[in-house]
Amino acid sequence: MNPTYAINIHELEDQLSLMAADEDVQSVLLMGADEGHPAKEELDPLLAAFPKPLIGGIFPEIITDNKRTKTGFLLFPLSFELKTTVIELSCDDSDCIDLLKNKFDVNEIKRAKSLFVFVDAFGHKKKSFVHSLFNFFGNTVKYLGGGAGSLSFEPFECILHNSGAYQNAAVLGLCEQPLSLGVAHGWTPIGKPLKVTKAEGNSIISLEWKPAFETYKEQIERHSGLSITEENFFDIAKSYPLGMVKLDSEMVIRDPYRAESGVLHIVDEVPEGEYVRIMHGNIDSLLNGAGAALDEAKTYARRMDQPSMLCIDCISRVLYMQDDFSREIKVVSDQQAVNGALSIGEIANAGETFLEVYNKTIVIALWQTKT
Amino acid sequence: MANENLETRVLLEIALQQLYEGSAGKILQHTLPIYMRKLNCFMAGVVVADKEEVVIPYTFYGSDSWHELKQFFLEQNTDQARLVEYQAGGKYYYGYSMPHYGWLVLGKNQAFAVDIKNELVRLVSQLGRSLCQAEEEARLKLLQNLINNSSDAVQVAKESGQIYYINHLAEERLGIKQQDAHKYHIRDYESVFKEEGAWEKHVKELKSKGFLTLEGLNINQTTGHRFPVEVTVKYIQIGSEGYVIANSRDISERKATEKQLAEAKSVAERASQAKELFLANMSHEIRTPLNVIIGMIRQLSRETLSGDQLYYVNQSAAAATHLLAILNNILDMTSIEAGELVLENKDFSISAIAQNAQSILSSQANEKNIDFQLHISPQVKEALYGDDVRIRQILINLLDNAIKFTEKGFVRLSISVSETTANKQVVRFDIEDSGIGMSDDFTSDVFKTFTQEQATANRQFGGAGLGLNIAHDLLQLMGSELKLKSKKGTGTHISFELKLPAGDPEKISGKSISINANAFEGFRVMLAEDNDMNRFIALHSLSHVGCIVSEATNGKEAVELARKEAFDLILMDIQMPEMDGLEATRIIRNELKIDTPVIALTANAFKHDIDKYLANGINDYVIKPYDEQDFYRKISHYFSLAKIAEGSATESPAGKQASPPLYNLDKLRDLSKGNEGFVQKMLGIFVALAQDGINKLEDAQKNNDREAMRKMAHKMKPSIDQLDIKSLYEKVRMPEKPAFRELSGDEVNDWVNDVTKTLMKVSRQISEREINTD
Repeated sequence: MNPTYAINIHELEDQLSLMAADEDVQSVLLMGADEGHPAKEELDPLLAAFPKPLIGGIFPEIITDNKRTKTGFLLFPLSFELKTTVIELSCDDSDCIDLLKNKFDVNEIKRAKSLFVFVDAFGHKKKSFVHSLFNFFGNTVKYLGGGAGSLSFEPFECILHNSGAYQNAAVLGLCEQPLSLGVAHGWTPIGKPLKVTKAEGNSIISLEWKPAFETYKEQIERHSGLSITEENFFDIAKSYPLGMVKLDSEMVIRDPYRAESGVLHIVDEVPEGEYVRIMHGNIDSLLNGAGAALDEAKTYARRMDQPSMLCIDCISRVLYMQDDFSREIKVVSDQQAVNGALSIGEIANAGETFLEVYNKTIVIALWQTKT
Repeated sequence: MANENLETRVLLEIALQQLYEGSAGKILQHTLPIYMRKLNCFMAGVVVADKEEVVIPYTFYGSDSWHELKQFFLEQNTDQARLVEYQAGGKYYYGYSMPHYGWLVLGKNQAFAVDIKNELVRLVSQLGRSLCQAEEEARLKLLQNLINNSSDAVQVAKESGQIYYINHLAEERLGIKQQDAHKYHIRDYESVFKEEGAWEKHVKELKSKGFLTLEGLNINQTTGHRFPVEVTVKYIQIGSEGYVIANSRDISERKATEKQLAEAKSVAERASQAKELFLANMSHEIRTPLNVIIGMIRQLSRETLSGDQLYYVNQSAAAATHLLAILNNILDMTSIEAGELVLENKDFSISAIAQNAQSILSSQANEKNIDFQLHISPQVKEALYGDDVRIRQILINLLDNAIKFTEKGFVRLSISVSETTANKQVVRFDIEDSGIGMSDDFTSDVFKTFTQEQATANRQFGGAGLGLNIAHDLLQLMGSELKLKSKKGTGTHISFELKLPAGDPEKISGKSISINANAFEGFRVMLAEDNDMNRFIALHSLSHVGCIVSEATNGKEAVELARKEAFDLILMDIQMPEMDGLEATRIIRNELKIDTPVIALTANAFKHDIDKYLANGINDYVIKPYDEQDFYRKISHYFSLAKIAEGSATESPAGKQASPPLYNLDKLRDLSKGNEGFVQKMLGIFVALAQDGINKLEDAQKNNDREAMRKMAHKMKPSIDQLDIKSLYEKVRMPEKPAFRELSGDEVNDWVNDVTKTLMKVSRQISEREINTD
């Protein structure tokens, strides 16, 4: 069964019934779009009634059959079983580890190849959760997922599981299916590395001991001649993300979305003591990045016959590309339709690095479809 | 940024973000993720020899890879900070030693650049120092906590007396805050040190002894409560500083417990004393009238009675004797339980007591037509050393039981020898019967007093059922064990063995003679007895044997009599009005300085009472009610033997069998041709020779001089033949035979003993013959 689109909750119910009856469907990834999404009270009964493992989230937008859409649901059937669980983001590292120990036994972990992760993008202690996830699974699995939520930044029950819809939570799906991943962004640095001398949560307070926005502004003005202010911040900053400098690996992109009183507010955390570079790109470089992600995914999927593809793309790339985003979908679609979610932050780790949440990044996952 | 620059900055950031305080666990929890993130590692772990490991990620912990890494790094030396690299499965592992702690292992998919991996050595070493320090601090904190919250009040003072530290409990007791303790000197609240030099003296004493333990009284300054304490004070030196540590423990509970124990002990002792007093009183109260009953029956039996009357008297006597036996059994049991019963060992004859027991019980056996058999092995020594009274008691108890529980058939007492040496014998006693036997259940509980089965048997067959228990307990006292085999409907076999030293036949207490009327004619006896009946009975017993008796009814009269008249013997009752017998004896001994023998007539049968009497001037005792002949034998000991009219003494068949003469004068008379003077002279010579022979043989025995033995035997041989001493005929010839040299040491000793004893016996018989003919 292929991924299908449900325009509203009634169609969702019908589609879920079909998938429940289909023997080839072992589990379902359910991705919904924010606009007009049903309330928790409407969703919970549907989710509870579905007899097979189900995980997902409600994202700013979804991609269904090569089209981005702001409404409806994408149902992605899987031919392999997921071992699922919901984790409250309020728990600390040791509690999180204990939860995971209770949920997944040693043999399941040994056999597991991949882990789907959807997290409330605005959840408290999201970073701590991601670290706990890595502290538990390490590089034994490949991670694929993203941040759910609304661009309004208003928290709501955006995490989906058989047991209901949750907020400030994450949902996991562990499976034995190997995934082939490609991760790329297409941004390039424009200046020298700057030390994050003071940070608090998802806000950078100072760079190189100077107010963060000031330093950021200097480099942008030097590069583009454009004058960025707190008022026009988003319009310009969307072209100038930050890149966290990593030893032995690609930079991790960070998306500043607001400046206020000299403080830069980022979608995800940039820890104090990290080194960042201001990045820049254009449509073409981003498209090249998308292509690179697909190529990387295909590198490890050469032996796959008609693989399934899931795309987790950052909503801020869409906001940057605007109508040109269709070109990105075209780059990625290759020989098959693109389905996926436009998320707030992406989670992917092919095993080379410490697990991070990416921003302004595209992740392509391919896996063998059961025929 | 050039990679080298980035690497330096990363290292700097790691150094800055590394946690240096808190617990070791907290430091590692914080630091390892920094290492992983900053250095792009897929795992980080700490390998330690005997502590809990820390590994990230969790899934790596149980993996084969981790196990392999552990094995490898645990074999490495951690004395110095260094890097050891390890590769496996295409991965790179970097082990950084943390001296005296363990190894930090980082796993990378790509190899480290040279500079960074080497620079990490110092960084990780610093981490190791932090971990060691954290552990040390944790240990200190734990100790501090233990002391602070100890159930003892702890004070630490410097050698000068200035307080260094007090724990929570000391804080409460002294009414001083911990943080203010250092402001105080010990003499500020310990009055014992207020005096000049007292503290210094105390410290000096401590230094020499190491520690002191004292008891005292404390007052809790916070609650005002007073309580006893035990204080242990110790002096220690740390570096150049000396400290005095005082541990003060509230011992209220201990004191209360001690007091309770003391009270309980006192109560128990009082109870025990009360019980003893009760038993003593009961014993006295029962014995006194019983003495009258037995005494009156005895007097009655001396009158001329019809057949029926004699029957009534005999039955009454048997019943009274039986009642006395039961009373004695009860008291014996009490004594044994209280550990008061002590064996009184002396030289005795087993065959004598066995025959005595048989004679006592034969009438019972005859009444039931039971064949009462007695077999004594000739190997049993003539004299052994033991408590004959108790052994007889054991035999009587066991035989009495056997007869009681046998309706028909036999009761047999067999006495044999299991082992024998010159100095001892193990004598075995077997009591068998063809009686009703005992069930297995009964047998298992047979030595327990007061069981249900015992009660049933007692009701059916009579008796208090204590005889077997007492026999059992007495044998245990003697180091022996009663063995019992029984089969219901078939019979019972009881056996025991006694290991007894060899005795001296010469010392066997007197011939068991019946003292007849007027045997002690002319002896003056004072009889002090307050009870009219008892006095009457004793008076008649004494008059019967010819004693001249003066009577006193209390201790005071006894003292007055003793002051005025001389007596050969004083018989003193103990419990008398006005003055008791013990006080009267004390006055007679200490004030009147009279050493006339005093025999206590008492119904108090307890050993500690008897001991008290004997310790206070009393020479001997007779327990009421007493057997008249035993009474006579006891008082005869205190009269001169030379004055005993032995002509009136006859051998009793109940006692030891009269020994026939071991010699024969026929040959000597033939030789003397009727010259009696010659015969006497020869007898005198023999006695002298025998004495000489005994002495020389005993010397030769000590030196194992068989040649000397041979010579002496040879010398005595003609005399032995002349007197026709048949028992020595073969023996005196043995040393002259070669086989004598082959005998073992024990066999030679037996030979010497037999010969010397026989010579002594013959000499004695000859001497007695001379007395009789005088």
